[in-house]
Amino acid sequence: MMPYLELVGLRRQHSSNQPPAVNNLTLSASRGEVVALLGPSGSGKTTVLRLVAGLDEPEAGSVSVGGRDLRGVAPERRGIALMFQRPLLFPHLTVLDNIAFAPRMAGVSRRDARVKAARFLELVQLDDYGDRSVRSLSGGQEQRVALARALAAEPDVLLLDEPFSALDPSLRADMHQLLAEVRAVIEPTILMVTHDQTEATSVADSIALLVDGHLEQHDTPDRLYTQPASLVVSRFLGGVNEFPGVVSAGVHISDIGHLLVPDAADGGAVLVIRQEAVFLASPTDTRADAVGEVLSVESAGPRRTVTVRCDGIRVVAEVGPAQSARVGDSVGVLLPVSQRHVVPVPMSPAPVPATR
Amino acid sequence: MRPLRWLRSTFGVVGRLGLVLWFVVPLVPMLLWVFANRWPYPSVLPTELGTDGLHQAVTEGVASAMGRSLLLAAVVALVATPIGAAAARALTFGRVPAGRLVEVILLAPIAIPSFAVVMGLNIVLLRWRVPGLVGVMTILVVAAIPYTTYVMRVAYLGHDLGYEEEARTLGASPEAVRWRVHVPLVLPALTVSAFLAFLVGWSDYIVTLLVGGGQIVTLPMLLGATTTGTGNESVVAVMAVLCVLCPLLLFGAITPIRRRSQPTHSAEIDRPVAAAELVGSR
Repeated sequence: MMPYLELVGLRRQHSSNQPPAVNNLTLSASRGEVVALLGPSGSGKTTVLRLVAGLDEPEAGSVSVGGRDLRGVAPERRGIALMFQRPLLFPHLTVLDNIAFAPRMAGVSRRDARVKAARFLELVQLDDYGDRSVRSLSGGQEQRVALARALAAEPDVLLLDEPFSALDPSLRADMHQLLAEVRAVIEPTILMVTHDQTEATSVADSIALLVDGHLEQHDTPDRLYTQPASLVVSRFLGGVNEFPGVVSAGVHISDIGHLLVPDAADGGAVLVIRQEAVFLASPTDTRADAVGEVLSVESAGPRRTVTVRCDGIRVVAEVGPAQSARVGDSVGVLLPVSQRHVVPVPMSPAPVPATR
Repeated sequence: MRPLRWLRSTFGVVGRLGLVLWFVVPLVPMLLWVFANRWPYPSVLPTELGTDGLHQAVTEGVASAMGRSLLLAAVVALVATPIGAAAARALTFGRVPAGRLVEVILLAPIAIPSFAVVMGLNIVLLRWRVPGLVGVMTILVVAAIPYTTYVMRVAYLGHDLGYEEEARTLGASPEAVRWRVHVPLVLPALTVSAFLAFLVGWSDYIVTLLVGGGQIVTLPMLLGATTTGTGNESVVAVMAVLCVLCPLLLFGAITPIRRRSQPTHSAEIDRPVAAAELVGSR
């Protein structure tokens, strides 16, 4: 699809004695797509939103929407609405007038703006709250009104800055559902900042992972988890299995053994595999890629995290309640070929015999 | 615990009652004097009630003096409030080089005795041939700015710029943001600020006397002259009551405004975040 929102080479440094908050960021989103900007605190996510909204000026790079370059365009003329983590509802206006704010600013009459606002209030399922003071709303209701207010601006791009992070988990799930319903009706293009991986994967079509102001990877949630572009991405997303080695003729050679990695380029590489993709089997299972001893079993709700030592290498598997494992058990470890991924890095490990 | 609570509650009621008496009791004899045609010593109450004092006060020009006072106070409030607000906003959001120094200069008129300043400025104004009324207004505006700046500074410390940024992304121009978002949000503080500036203009005696050269007859000037000149307590009481009544009525009028535009509870919870944003620590 053609990119609709395009950020090219964005750079922003808040002060000269600090590293750039955002450096050479290039990112795009198609029309109607939801892109989650994911990253740890201080990675520059909010700065990106502020640059896109025009609240801060980039030192380099450009932002364009639908082919229109927004350099030098004031925030109110960009057609981009920003919803902050705090609802920031205007306390001197009623709920309906808060939502009618953007239409009023666009020159719509008070009456027509209110009619329009009522439609958006209905969209966020707060039909009867129009005449209320915003001070009478709960936290979740405030966020719904804030979302309706941003949508009422009918922006080309909607920016969400951790909009649901202050809500409790059940309210957050409600808001995710609401956002899905809103998308089904008006298909806005959304760039959403979050530090919550679960939120990013459940709400967004694609995730852009930002670390220290650099874009590490922009991909679908599935590919981000199973095919991380770097060890930083893998580790940020909770990946713990890393086997440094070398790829030669489609085989990754490391201390854990020779493992097939079709299509991987030759050279130094770390093989990564999600712990959720690792299976445990009988030590005599011929399909096992390695055999080892269970070092620890940690319970994580209905699932358990099992650490296995195979020839001095630790392999972590996250297993369901159907699989039993006790400390000291001898187990076979299955690393499905489809779930293996190599991250190229310069290194020179000693080759190990036997291919599995 | 219960007796202790009872004791606290009793002390609270007694304390409040005491405060009310503290302010109201001195006004009672003054109010009685307003309607006393005769109140010779040692009578506890006036021996003859009437409106002679009121008529006398009108004859001596209390209405026009009050008009001048109102005008002077209104001008001081109208000029000093926006200046104080602009200064406070610039100082709070770090847009002023050497902000501390500027703040000290702005607040200096409170620390320096006004008599000394006025004597010095009077000579300057005379040499520059500045008309008395303009001089009085200028000096009173300068005297009111520390109060307006201080009140607005406190207000801006709790003001979240996020509201204004949100409004911009919703399509509001800087001008629309100012009048539709910024001013309504700080309106309670602006009102208090204007009230204090009004009081500076309304209650001034020294500046009006020295710089005005006795040509600008305001209510305090008339009151001062009447007190020292006629010795007619009833007339003095009428003028004194008018001096008190006008600010009191104004205070009553602005009370509903002072109580509105409080932030939503989410905004209050997130105040530290907002404060962090104020100093640009994103």
